Amino acid sequence: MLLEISELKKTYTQGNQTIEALKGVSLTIDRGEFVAIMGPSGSGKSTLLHLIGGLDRATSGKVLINQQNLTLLSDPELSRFRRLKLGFIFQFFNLLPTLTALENTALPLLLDDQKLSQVEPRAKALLEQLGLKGRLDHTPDQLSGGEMQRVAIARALVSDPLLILADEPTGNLDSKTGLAILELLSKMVRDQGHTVIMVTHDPKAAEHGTRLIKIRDGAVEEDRRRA
Amino acid sequence: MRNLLTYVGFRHLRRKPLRTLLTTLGIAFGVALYLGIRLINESVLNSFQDTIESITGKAKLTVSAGDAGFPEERLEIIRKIKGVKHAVPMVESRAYFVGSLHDGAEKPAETMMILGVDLLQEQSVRTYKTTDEQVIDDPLVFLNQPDSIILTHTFAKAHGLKIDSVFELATSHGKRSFTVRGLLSPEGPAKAYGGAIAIMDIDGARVSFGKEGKTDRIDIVPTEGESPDDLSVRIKSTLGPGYFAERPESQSESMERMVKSFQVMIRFFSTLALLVGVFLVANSVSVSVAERRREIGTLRALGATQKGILALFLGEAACLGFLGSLAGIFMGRALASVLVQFVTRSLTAQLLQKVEVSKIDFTLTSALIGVLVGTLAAFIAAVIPSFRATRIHPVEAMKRTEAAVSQNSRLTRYTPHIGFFLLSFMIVTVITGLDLRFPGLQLINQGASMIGAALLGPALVVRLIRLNMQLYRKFFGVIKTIPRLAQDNLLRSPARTASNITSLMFGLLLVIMIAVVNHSFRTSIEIWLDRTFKADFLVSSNGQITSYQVQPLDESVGFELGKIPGVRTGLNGSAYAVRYIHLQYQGKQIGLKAFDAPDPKLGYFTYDLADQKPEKAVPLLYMGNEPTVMISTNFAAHFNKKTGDFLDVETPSGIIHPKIVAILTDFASPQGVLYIDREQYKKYWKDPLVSAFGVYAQPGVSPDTIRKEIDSRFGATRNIIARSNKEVKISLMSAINQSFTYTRAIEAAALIVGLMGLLNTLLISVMERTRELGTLRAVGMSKAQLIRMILTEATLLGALGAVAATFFGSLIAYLWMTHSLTHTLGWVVNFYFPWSAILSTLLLGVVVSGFAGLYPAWKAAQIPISEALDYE
Ligand SMILES: Nc1ncnc2c1ncn2[C@@H]1O[C@H](COP(=O)(O)OP(=O)(O)O)[C@@H](O)[C@H]1O
Ligand SMILES: [Mg+2]
Repeated sequence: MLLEISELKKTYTQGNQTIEALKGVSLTIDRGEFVAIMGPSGSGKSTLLHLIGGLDRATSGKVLINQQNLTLLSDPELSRFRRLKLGFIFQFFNLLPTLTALENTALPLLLDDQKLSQVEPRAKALLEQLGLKGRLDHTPDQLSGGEMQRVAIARALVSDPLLILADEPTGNLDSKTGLAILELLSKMVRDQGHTVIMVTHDPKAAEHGTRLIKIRDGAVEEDRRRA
Repeated sequence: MRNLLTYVGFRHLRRKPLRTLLTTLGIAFGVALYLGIRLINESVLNSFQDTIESITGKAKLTVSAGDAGFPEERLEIIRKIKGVKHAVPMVESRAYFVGSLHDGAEKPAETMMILGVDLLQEQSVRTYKTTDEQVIDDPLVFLNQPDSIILTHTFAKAHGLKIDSVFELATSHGKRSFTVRGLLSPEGPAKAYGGAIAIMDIDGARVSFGKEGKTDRIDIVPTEGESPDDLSVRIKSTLGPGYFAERPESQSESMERMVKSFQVMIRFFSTLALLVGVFLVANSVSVSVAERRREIGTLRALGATQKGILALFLGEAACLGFLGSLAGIFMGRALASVLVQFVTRSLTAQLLQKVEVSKIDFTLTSALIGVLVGTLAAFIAAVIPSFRATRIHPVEAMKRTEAAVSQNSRLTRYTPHIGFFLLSFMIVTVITGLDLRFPGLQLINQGASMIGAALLGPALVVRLIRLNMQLYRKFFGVIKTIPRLAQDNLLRSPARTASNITSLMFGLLLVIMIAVVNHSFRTSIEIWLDRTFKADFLVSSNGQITSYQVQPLDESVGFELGKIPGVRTGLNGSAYAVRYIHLQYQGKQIGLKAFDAPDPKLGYFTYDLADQKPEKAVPLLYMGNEPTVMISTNFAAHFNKKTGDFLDVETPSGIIHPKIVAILTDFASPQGVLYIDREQYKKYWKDPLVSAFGVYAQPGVSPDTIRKEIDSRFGATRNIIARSNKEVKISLMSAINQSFTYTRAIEAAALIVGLMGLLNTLLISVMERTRELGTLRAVGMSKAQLIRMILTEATLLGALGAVAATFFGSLIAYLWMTHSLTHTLGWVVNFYFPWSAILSTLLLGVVVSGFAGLYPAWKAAQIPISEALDYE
C-alpha cells in the first residue's frame, strides 16, 4: 500500500462562513495505479490532491505515504518530501520562466542542493525520452503548450518519486496534444511502474486511468477499478 | 464620478492597507522634511527680524561700524546732524555666563547678550517693563552700583536667579561678579535672543567688556517728517566710510543674505525627500493600474467614461496625498523642533557667529502649504499612470491578463535615457561654466543631477546584476539555486527592477554625496590646521574658541602670559595675539584676522600661502608703514582679486587701500578672510582687544608646566583657559562634525522613504509572483529557502544600488565641489574621496534593503501553497 488516507477532512473558514471541502475521505492507493479523480467543479478534487501532496494541512484525518504520516512533518521535512518523493503536474504547467527546460526539469533536485552537473544526465535523459532532445536550452516562452507540459512531466519524474500528482494536466491543451500527454502518463505507469493520481473533469481523460474515483460534495461517491 | 471613488477607489485603498499606508507615509515623510526645513528657515529669518526689531525699538536708523565698534565721540557729531531727534548709544557684547556663585560646579559656557545702555536716554527708543509691571523708574540707583545688571525673567528663572542674586560673567578682564537688580518681562528688547540678554549701564559695560571709549551702535529717531533714507545718506556722508546707517529691515536683510545659500541648500535637500514621495506615489499608482486592468476594462464595458477612470485614479492619489500631508505637517512640526538646534549649530560653526532661534513659528500658512504641496505632489505623481489607465480598452475585461504588471510603458523604457540626458546636461553646463553665468541653471542642475542619477543609477544596477552573474559563472561555475533564482527574477523585467530601486537610490545618493562633502571639508580643514596651527596652547576666555565665540581679552593678558617662565614671546614681549572680527566688504560679510608679527625664528607656518613664498610675502605684511593684506582663496575667487591688487577696506577711521601681498588658505568665513598686521588693525579699527593668544613653549620646556602655570594664574580667578594644540584640533573637528549633524536627519528621512518604497515594490513583486512561488514550494522549496531567495533579491538590490549610488553620488559631488561650491556656499575646498564611506554606504544599502525585504519575505512564506497555485 503506497497511499493511505483516513477520515480526511478539510474545512475552510471565510469570515463567519465555513466550507467543508472534504467531509472525511478514506482511500488507499497501491503502487502502479493510475487513479483518475472526477467530480463537478467545487467538489473538492483539488483540495484532496493538495492534501495528498502536502501542499496544505488537513483539518483532521491522516495522509500516509509509504507509511510516512505527512501531517506530522515540519515545513523543511515536508518540503524535502515533496522534492524527493512527489512529483507535481499542473494545468498551467507552472514552469519557471527564467529557467531552461533542462533547469526546470532539474529544479526539485537543485532545491535539494544537488549539483547541476550531477543531476544533469538524468534530466537530459528524461527530456530526451519525452521527445525534447532539441529543446534542452529553451526557456518556456520558446516552447509550445504540449512541450511545456512534457517538461513539467520530466520535472515530476526527475527525483524518481513515489507518487505523481496531476491536477487537470490536459485542461489547458488542445485535444490532440492532451491525448499525447495522457498516453505518456499511461506509459509511465504501465512500463515504469510509476503511480499517478490525476484530477480531471474530462471523462475521456479519465478513461486512461486504471481506477476512477468520483467525488461529490467533498465525499467519495464512486470508486471503481477498471478491469 | 463620485460613485466610482466611493464604491471602487476607496475600497481598493482599504483592500491594500499596507500599500496605502506605505504610500501615505512616504508622502508624510516627504512633507515632514520639506515643511520641517521650511519652518526652520523661516524661524531663523524671523528670529533675526524679531531680535533686530525688538532691540531697535522706536528707532528708524541704526549707526554701526562692525564688530570692533567706533569711538564714542561720534555720538555728539550724530546728534548735531539735521533731522536727528534722538540718538541713543549702546554697547553690545556677548558674554559668557559662568553661573551663580552658589552652585559650586562650573557649567559649560552659556552665552548671553549684554546690552550696555544709557538708561537716562533709553525711553526715547526702547521701553523696558519689569515683571511687576513697573517701568524702571530709578536709573540713578542702578547707576550708582557698577555691578548692577538687569536680567529677563525667563533667563533668571531658568538659572535659579532672583533679585539681588549674585552671578559671574566672563569679561575681558576675566571673571566678574554681577548683582541682579531687576527682572524684565518679555517685552521689547527682553524678547530678543530668546530672553538671553542682560541690561547694564553703558559705562560699566565699556569697562567690563574692553570697550572703553567705544560705542557699538547708535539708534536714531528722526524728527517728524524726516525721511530715514535721506537721513541715512546725510549720516553716512558726515561719518565717512566704515560706518553704516541702516534701517532695521536692511539690518535683517544682511543677516538673511548670509544664511541664504545655506538655506537654499537645505531646502533643496528637503525637496528631494518630497520627490522620493512623489516617486513612491507614481509607482504605487502604476502598479494599481496594472493590477486592475481587468477591473478597469469591466468598468469601461459597463459604461464608465475615460474621464471617470482618470478621476478615479487621480482621486485616489490625491486622497492619499492629502492624508499623508496631514500627518506630514505634524511630523514636520516635530522634526523642526528637533532639527532646529542642529541647523543653527551648523550655521554658527560656518559663519563663526552665533545664530539662534528662540521659537519655531508654526503658522496656519505653513500648515496649508504643507498640505497643498503634499496633495499636489501626489496628484502630479499620479497623472501619467492615470492617463495610462484611461487607455485600457473595455475588451480587457474579457482577457485573462497574466503578469500585466510587468509590461513596460514607453516611459519606463526610456527612463535611463532621460536620466542620462539630465546628467549630461548637468555635466556639460557645469564644466563649461554655463551654470555660473545663469544662476537659475544651478538650481536646475541640482535637481537634474539628483533625478538624473536616480533614473540612470537603477539601470546601472541591472547591468551590475547581470555582470555579477556572468563573473560568478566565469570564476565559480554554476550559481547556487537560490541566488540564481533571485537574480533571474531581478533580471526578468529590468525596467521593473530599476524602478524598484529608484526610491532607495535617492537615499543612498544623498548619503554618499553628504559623505563626500563632509569628508572633503574635514580633510581640507584638518590638513590646513595641521600645517598652520603649531602653538602649544591657545589661550582665550572660556567659550567656543573654534568659532571665536569667546569674550575678547585685554591686550595686557598677552604680556602677563609672556612673563610666564618658558613661554616664548614675540618681539614685543607678549604672547602671539590674534584678533578675529567680521567685516563688511562690498556688502558681503567677510572675516578679518589680525596677527602679531611672527618671530622669523619660529617660521611662517601660520600663513598657508597659495601663490607666494612665505619668507618673501610674510614680511611684506609687517612692513609697518602702509597697511597690506593677505586674502584667502575664496576671497580671491569671490571678488576676483589677486596678489598685487589693492582693496578698498572701510574702517572706523576711514577707508584704507591695502595692497594684497599674497593669497592663502583659510576657512574662517565662507565669503573670505583678510589677514592684516595687528598693529595696523589697532591703528585703523582702534581696537586693542584680542580673541586668542598662541602660546609656544621655549625649546626644552615642557608644555605641561606652562599649562599648570597658566591655570593657576588665570584659570580660577579670570576664567581664561589654555587649550592644548591637540584639544583645539579635536574640538574644531568635532565642531565640523556637529555642523553636519543635521544632514543625518535628511539622510535618515530619505533612507526611510527609500525603505518604504522598496518595501512597497518588493511586496508587489512577491504578490505578482504568487503562483510561481506556489510552484516553487510545490516542487519542494522550503519556507526558509523562499525567505532566503527574497532577502537575496532585496539585499542584492541594496548592495548594487549602493555601488551605483557611490559612482553617481561621488561624480555629482565631485563636480559640485570643484565647480560650484565656491559660488554657492562660498568655500574653496579640495575634493577628497571618502573611501571609508563606501563601506558604510554599502552596509547601509544592504541593511536598509534587508529590512525592506523582511516583511515581503515573511509574507511570501505565509501564503498557503494550494491558494498560491490557484492565484491568478
Ligand atoms: N482557499 C480556500 N478558501 C476557501 N474555500 C476554498 C478554498 N479552496 C477551495 N475552497 C472551497 O472548497 C471547495 C472545494 O474546492 P476545490 O477542491 O478547489 O474543488 P474542485 O477542484 O473540485 O473544483 C469549493 O467549494 C471551494 O470554493
Ligand atoms: Mg480544482
